[in-house]
Amino acid sequence: MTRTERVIEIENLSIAAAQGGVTLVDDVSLHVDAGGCLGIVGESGSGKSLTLRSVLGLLPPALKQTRGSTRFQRRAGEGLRSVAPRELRGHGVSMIFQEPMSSLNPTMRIGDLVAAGPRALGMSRRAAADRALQLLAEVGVPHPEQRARAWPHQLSGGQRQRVMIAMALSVEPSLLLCDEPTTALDTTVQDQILTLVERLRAERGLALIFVSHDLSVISRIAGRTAVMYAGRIVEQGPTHDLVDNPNHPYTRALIDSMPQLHGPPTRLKTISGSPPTAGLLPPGCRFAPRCPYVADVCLEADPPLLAIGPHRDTACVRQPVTNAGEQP
Amino acid sequence: MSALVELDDIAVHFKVRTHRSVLPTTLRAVDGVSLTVERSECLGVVGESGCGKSTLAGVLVGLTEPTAGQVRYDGQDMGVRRSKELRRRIQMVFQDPVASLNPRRRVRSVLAELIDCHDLVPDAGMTSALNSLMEMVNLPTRVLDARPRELSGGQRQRVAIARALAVRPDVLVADEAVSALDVSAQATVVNLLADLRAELGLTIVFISHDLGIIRTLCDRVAVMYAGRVVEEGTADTIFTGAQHPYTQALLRAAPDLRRRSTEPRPPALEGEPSGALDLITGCPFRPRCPEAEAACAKAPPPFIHDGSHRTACIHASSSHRATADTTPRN
Amino acid sequence: MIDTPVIEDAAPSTTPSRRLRRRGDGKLAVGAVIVGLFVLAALFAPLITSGHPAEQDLLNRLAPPSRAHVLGTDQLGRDEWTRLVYAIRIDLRVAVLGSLIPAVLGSLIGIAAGLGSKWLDAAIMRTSDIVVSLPLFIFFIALVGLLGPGTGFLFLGPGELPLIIGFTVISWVVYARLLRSEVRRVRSMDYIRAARLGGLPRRRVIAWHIVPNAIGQSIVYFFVDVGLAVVAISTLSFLGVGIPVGTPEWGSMIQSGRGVIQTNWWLIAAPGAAIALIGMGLALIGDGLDDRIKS
Repeated sequence: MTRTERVIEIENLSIAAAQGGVTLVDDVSLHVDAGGCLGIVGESGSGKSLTLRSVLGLLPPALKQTRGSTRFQRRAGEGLRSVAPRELRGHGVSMIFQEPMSSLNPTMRIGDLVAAGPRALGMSRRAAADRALQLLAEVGVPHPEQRARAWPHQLSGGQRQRVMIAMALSVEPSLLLCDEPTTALDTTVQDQILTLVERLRAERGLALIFVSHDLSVISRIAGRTAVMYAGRIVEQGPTHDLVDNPNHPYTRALIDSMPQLHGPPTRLKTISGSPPTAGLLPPGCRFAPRCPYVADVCLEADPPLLAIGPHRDTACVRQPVTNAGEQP
Repeated sequence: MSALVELDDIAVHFKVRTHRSVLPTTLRAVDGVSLTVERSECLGVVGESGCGKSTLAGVLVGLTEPTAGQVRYDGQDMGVRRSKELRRRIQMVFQDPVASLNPRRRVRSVLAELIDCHDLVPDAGMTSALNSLMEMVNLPTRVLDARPRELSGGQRQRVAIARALAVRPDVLVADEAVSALDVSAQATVVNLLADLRAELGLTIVFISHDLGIIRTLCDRVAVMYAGRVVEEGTADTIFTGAQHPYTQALLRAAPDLRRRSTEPRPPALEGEPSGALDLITGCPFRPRCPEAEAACAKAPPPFIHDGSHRTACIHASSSHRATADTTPRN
Repeated sequence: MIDTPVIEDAAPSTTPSRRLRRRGDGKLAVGAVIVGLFVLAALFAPLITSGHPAEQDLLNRLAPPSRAHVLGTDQLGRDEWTRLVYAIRIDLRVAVLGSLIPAVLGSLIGIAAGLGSKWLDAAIMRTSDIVVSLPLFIFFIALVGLLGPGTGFLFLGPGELPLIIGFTVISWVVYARLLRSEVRRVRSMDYIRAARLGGLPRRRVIAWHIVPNAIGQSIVYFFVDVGLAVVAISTLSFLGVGIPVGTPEWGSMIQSGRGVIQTNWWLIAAPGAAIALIGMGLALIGDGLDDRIKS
């Protein structure tokens, strides 16, 4: 993240059920710079995928965005401009998903799938087909000419994910949204896809928002990370700083509960209880019922996300925690 | 050595159809796997999709009939059709917490039915037996009266463990039992398995693609690729001194929270894991192996033993080489 | 700008007790009320009608609706309302039996196919292929014509048994195929494998674990099927096959009202509406159950 040009800024995003008004994402603000990668990590139900989907207005029909504004910079140097999510589809923002098979039209050949983007940008049929081959080569599909004539079901999971990335790139986006794109893949293939996404970010100056339940994947790819819990961002900051010195008790618990690959095996730390159900939030801080550091003040109000240092925000009254080795 | 369960040269072959040929070809889902599990040990089986680890789990518990080979329990052949009593000894915990519980039955009736079936406790002791099962898996007793849909993923998986424990098995086979869970629920279930092993002396075969969890839980690890065990050893030697190029690549590819993204990374392993069709001769890992040479194409490499560690690769470091298997099995 | 009006972040409106209301309850309730009214009307027919569906009043033919005859009278001076209500007894009886018997039979066959040997499965499936390939209506008319109306059987009136036999021969196939595929789906679920691993006897696994999870869709279809059977019965009777002329039955009532459609249109509209309404009620029940199973 050497350049500091903002590509997208989302402010005060809230998402609620259309009926009943249960809030699922509450007052989330985030931004990404050109060539930067924002990771969003959280457990299922934390609202991380909804947040990502709302960027393009892809919420399920039963949900709606109740608040929030998006500002987006379509071309470098153009400056941020307010936009509606729909305007971004195919114009500056692309998205890749967890399950590539259900995202690829099974009745279209790979080449035609990838060529659809350039065609929509006004290219001739032949130029679009050539562009598709270039894109397939760029994402590392071997023998693009041959593969362009294949059908989606003939490809392996990793190849499908590469094709989906080629399709995403075909509209020349400046921002790529990634919704757990490697979760369904094998370890070695996940490694390949992460390497590819990383390379595209560096080569194309692509901005990324990468959502995952796996903090170790996020730490591999994202320069900055936001941790979501029960619909809110509870902590955000530069990834390695956040991993090394987690400030929010939830972030720390999340890291402690992850098995370690290196070093002698240790017993995993667990978080007592389970995340609250949307609509049945506890009073005060949402993490309070599970928090080892809970105090009376935590039950009174949900703490706001506040800056606690350069680029570091935490939503916890008990901040900042300076001593990383402190025990509850 | 007191091997509780022995898998002896197990093979499971399926006839499958491919795009390439009209004739069905043979998929060697599991091909010549021999493993032993000692009492109260936790053996980890790690590998990617199509490596045969789930098929192997099916063979262990008796749900999948092997094409060849023998499963021995306490030195005794379990046979093709296991007796109810032998079947009880090896139980399984499945991956999908949704599919693994009957949606129409309450937890109590599912557990009671199994206890009844084996006459494990007198009728009067049923309530306390059920309560102690819940206690074993750290669930409140009111869960007994819940239906699966009222439970979270982690709770369901603990109920599934309670169901396996209900028939008092000696061996628990966990097939990707925590893969579908969130990190915090995952930690709870992993710790539970570790505790059960310590408290009940349970033997665990833990099958997973997740190296971190294998590291946390297991004493010994077998790495599978394309239906074969390619390397086996203690968890320490596998994680610190892996010999097989595949094991090494897998360890490199696993995302690690503590690794800095600025650190130079070795190139990602190319290609994708595939099932072992009859198309590949020699070492099954050869098409993806950075160290492959002509000799690898000749025959599946024999194991090179180094103490309790064995590696099916001709490149396994010669300083560790003790005795080379003469039979090119596995 | 995409600033939509801010909705008050109201107190959680879904309390646990409200959550227990499941999807499909509304449809289920409306359907049950409609079908329930029909059943009640059939049971208490003598109380809400003149009680004599066959009684002719030749001096008062084709009378318009009046206080004495709510829906007027037909060509023979019979009270249309009375006939309409008494027809429920016949139409519903034949439709329910004509769906229930093939449902039970077909389900058993389907379970056998889903759990039995390869050969049993193949035999059942090929037989069902043959039934499916029959030109259904022609076959049905031929079969019912061949059997003749007869004089009734047990509590069944003339013409009813042949219809029920006809339905059974044809519609067991749907249930058999449905159950076969559902049984196969459920059979491969992990909880079935767990039950087998636990050493439960095969019969118990089937009866307690497989079948209860496999029959949902066929129960849903049963309700839709009863509605379809009502339509089929009236169509056949309209064509003169099935229930003999003279018996109060919706299809034959429409048939006899055909000649006076210009003047006494309600003689057709009333039984037509009855068919549509009961069909809708049954479909709503089916739909509601479907939502409930899937939620």
